[in-house]
Amino acid sequence: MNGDKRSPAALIIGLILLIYGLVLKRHDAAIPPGYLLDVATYLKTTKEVVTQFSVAIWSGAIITFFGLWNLAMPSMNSKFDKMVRTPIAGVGTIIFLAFITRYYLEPIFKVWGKNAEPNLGFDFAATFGLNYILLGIVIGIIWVNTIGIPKWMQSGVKTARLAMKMGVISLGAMYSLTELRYMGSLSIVMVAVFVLGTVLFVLLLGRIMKTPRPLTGVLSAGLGVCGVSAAVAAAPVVKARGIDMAYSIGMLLLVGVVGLFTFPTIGRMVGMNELQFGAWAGTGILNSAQVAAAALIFDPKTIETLKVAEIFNITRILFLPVIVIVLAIWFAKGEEEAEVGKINIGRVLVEKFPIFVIGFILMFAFSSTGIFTPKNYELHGKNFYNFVPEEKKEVRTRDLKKVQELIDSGNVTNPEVRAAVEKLIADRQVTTTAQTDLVLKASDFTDDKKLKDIFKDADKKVQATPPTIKMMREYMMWFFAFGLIGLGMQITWQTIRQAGGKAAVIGVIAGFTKAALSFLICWLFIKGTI
Amino acid sequence: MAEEKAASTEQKEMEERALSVFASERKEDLTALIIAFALALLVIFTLK
Amino acid sequence: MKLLVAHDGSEQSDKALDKAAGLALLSKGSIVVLSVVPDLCMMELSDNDCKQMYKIMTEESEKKLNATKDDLSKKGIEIETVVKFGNAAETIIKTCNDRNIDMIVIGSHGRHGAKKFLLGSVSSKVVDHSPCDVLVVK
Repeated sequence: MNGDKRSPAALIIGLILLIYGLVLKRHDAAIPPGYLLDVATYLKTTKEVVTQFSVAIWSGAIITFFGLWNLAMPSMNSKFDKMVRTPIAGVGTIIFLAFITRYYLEPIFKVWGKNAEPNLGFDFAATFGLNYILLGIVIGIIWVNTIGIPKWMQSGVKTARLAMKMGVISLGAMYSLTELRYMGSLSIVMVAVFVLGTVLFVLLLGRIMKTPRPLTGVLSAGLGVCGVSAAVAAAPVVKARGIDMAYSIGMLLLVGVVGLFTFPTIGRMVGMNELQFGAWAGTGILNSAQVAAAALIFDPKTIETLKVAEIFNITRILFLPVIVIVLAIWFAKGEEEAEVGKINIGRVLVEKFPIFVIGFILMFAFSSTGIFTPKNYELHGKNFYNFVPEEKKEVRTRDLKKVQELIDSGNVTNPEVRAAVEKLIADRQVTTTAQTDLVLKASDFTDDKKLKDIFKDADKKVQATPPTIKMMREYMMWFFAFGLIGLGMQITWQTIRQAGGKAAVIGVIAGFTKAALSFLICWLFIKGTI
Repeated sequence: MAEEKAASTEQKEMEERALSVFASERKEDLTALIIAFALALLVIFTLK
Repeated sequence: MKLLVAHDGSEQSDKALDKAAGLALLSKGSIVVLSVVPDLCMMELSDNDCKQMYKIMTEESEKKLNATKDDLSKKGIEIETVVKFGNAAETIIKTCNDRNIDMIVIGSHGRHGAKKFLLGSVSSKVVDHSPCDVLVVK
């Protein structure tokens, strides 16, 4: 750390971002279209040029500022230095990578995928889900396992975890009470079954294969609850040794990564919807951060899958103290010197209680006061609506004619529905939440697909997400993209290769069984959407 | 002499490695919370 | 002669240690026994977790090393034991640079010894990249 106290890295990164933003902006203005805009047009990212510009300029400016400061004055060990000045170079690099993956790599693969379709028979970009989340993780993994993380970037990469937490807390604002209740109750049932089931299964496997008890204990926590962090939490109560940790963490990381890349593809191939996949990922994927990753790889556009998956993830985390206690008892029973160490359990409960979950709940409570929803907007179900009369929300005249024909035919037998549709014709657009539900029901009274589309469209036209929520979603996604690139950077071959021996066998068997069983349950028994 | 210095910086390096940017996880969680809420409030005040 | 012995608890590394002890006695030199422990700290883990891991991983190595240390000190060899985190090969090489080592003594295979390879991956990397002399004990 001595050599880089005056590292120019942050300055360089900051300037790159700043210059990029400025070049982008310059070509966005009336000056003749420039190279970057042409690229954006080819990649179909022109709509996002504005976002790119803001993020690039702001982050570029801030990082350049710190970069100059870093160059001028060496970093002391003050808290501010450690928390802001030292990591800033790494933070900037990850932001830069997030840019590249989101606005260049993903669109490029999209274009290539489409172009390759005639030859290959399928669009490889779509099938493998090559979105920027996935690409970010992959880049992180490749980077750390080839070049390695340079010293000046190291503390920046560690902020990835903070970013993930901020993302999850902000996500709390996106739920409605009904959603939370439904997803919550579903998750408690599934998580309870699978966590306890897997833990017991692994303990059983351990007994059959005669693995050392500390190793079995750590593996069961890791495979059953939430991966690596659970394993470490359980370590003290089962007297795990260095070699147990090495084997199990390596194994957990390996199984986790395999799951991370296979789950979304499988989910997509069988056509799971957001609820099903969110539940599956939330149950079957081992490590906490990887659950969010899988959900976002499956569905980076809407955040519905992420919402489901995170509820399951949080439920799992909350089960951890329970499992630690269970394992402590199990271990003590098998030992001759019954040193249960009750102090450890208490400390685990206190230490392990995730404050960020409290943050999530607080954010949810905060948002359910309606504070994020401006005057003209209403939250109804999972969509926001804005009923203020506007020409662009009106149904087309010739479509209204068709609707009138339906009314005249007398086929709409439900009086409420008929009244709603008649009001739609009169106002030319939907005006209340109750009305929109009824209008959608009108589809049941006709077989004409065009009519059904008209009704669906009328509902869609009045849907509008308030700018507050839009902005939150946007920066939340940046947090997740950032955090997941950092996640990729911490998946090292060096750690994976520690996996070995019986731990590997147990891990594969239990991991696969858990994934398969949860898949079947989610796919076959979870119906309906959110 | 040089070796003792080498040994002690190694020790410090190892401890630094175990620590991340934050001294404890609580602090990290709290910071996440504070920043998330600060941003939310900022959004409300500017965009609503 | 200043020797650096890379020790990971495997049989080969014990042999390497014996060899080094013999050499140290002959040359009236000293030994640094280095145990490199994998760095398993990841994003998932909190700092307390990482510190905990650090403790667990190094405890065992330290115990073993201390026993060895006592043993060899009794025979009159000047010996120092060090436990470090990280990539084994890189750390070994770095230590040999930091401490003016004359020769590294390393077993041909380690804990994950897959004897179908001619040389274990750590030992071969050390041989390839080390600026100090290397003695590979078979």
